[in-house]
Amino acid sequence: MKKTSLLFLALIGLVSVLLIFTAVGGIAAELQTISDPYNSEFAMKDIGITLQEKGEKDDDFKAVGYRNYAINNDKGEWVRGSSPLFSSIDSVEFGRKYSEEFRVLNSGTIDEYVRVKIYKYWVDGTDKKNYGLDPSKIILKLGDTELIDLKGENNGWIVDSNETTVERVTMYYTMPITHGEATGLFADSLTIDSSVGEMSRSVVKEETIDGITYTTYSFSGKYNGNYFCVEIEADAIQTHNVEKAVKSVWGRNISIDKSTKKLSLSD
Amino acid sequence: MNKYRRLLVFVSLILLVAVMVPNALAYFSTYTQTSGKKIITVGDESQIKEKDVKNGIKTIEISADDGSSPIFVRVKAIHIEGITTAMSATPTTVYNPEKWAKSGDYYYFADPLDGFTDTDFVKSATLDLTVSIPADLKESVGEEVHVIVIYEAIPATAVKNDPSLWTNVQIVGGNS
Repeated sequence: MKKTSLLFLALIGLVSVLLIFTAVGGIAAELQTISDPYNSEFAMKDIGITLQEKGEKDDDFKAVGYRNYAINNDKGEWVRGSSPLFSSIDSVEFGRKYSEEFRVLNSGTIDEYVRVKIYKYWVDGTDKKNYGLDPSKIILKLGDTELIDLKGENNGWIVDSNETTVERVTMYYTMPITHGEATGLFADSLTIDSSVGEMSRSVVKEETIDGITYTTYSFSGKYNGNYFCVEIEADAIQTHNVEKAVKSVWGRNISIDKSTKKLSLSD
Repeated sequence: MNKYRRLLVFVSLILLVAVMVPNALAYFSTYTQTSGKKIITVGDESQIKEKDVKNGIKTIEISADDGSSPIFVRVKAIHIEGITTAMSATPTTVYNPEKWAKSGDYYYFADPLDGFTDTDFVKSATLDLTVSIPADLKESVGEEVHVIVIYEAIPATAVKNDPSLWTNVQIVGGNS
């Protein structure tokens, strides 16, 4: 009886203390938002990310996707936007290596770690996924190597083989990037495999005239009328307590080298 | 422990969780997403330009249209009996005699024509045919004769997969 009461009283005491700290914290946070020095500290916590592309016709990198937290009139809001990829490509030439460079920019005000997910697939004329067509015909490379085949660290990026398939490649940038800093390139070319242009032959009719057999063929392309599609998602996360943050938000076990701040993936 | 105390313990635990959960969620993160798509067009389109016979030469130019898939082409000349045609041995700035070869009634161009300009293949091919009119025929038809040209095209990939196809084929519809 006495033990139970003591335990009960201890529990009530702990909850009371926590509630008081929580209430005080809320009041303190309120004070921080209305006092000048703390306002500036709050502004330092804006996080932002921008995906950049440089196609063959582009003189410099351009933003093709961004989402930044910004303070406007003492009120925080997300500023976001996106535009389609591959605007430099007019018509697709099979087997040709198009220069398509991609990187991530820290457009926030705090340091961050970033990762990208690249999806490759085909859609038909009605914008529905065509699972019958091969995503590996859409070839994204860094240097001379397809992203899916990259080993070790390349331009600061590592491939997460646990989260990579023929249709999706997941890459982590190993170092934190500061405000205004961009990562190294994670892809620099796009090629649509030349076999996409191949046609299959089918016999339409066969007839024999004066002892000679005439066969009529029809040629058709399996990929004709379909669209190749590449989708890129770029994620950013705070550097503070990043191991727990990545596990909580991205669901991935990582570790950070305390001296170099380098990120590595854990199994 | 009576019901009242049990209820208090339960409420206390709920409060504890409520206090702890916001800390776990308070991570700064963001993301952006975009995509791009382009249509795949597999097919070929080509055209022929031909000039009237001039100075005994019939000039024929075949070209793949912009964006056309690679094609092999061949040409056949039709004319009245008695007239003969042959490949001109004299190269011009656009005519490469070594690329053409006659087999049966057709003149075959060795390389595929490609609708894209920055490939290993050329976009167009020119054939110069010399037209010879025997002297006895000139008396009846004169110096001017008509030479009708038929050209045909076939997808290069089809020939690559089955080389025998092109050498023994009669094309119907499409590019004939």
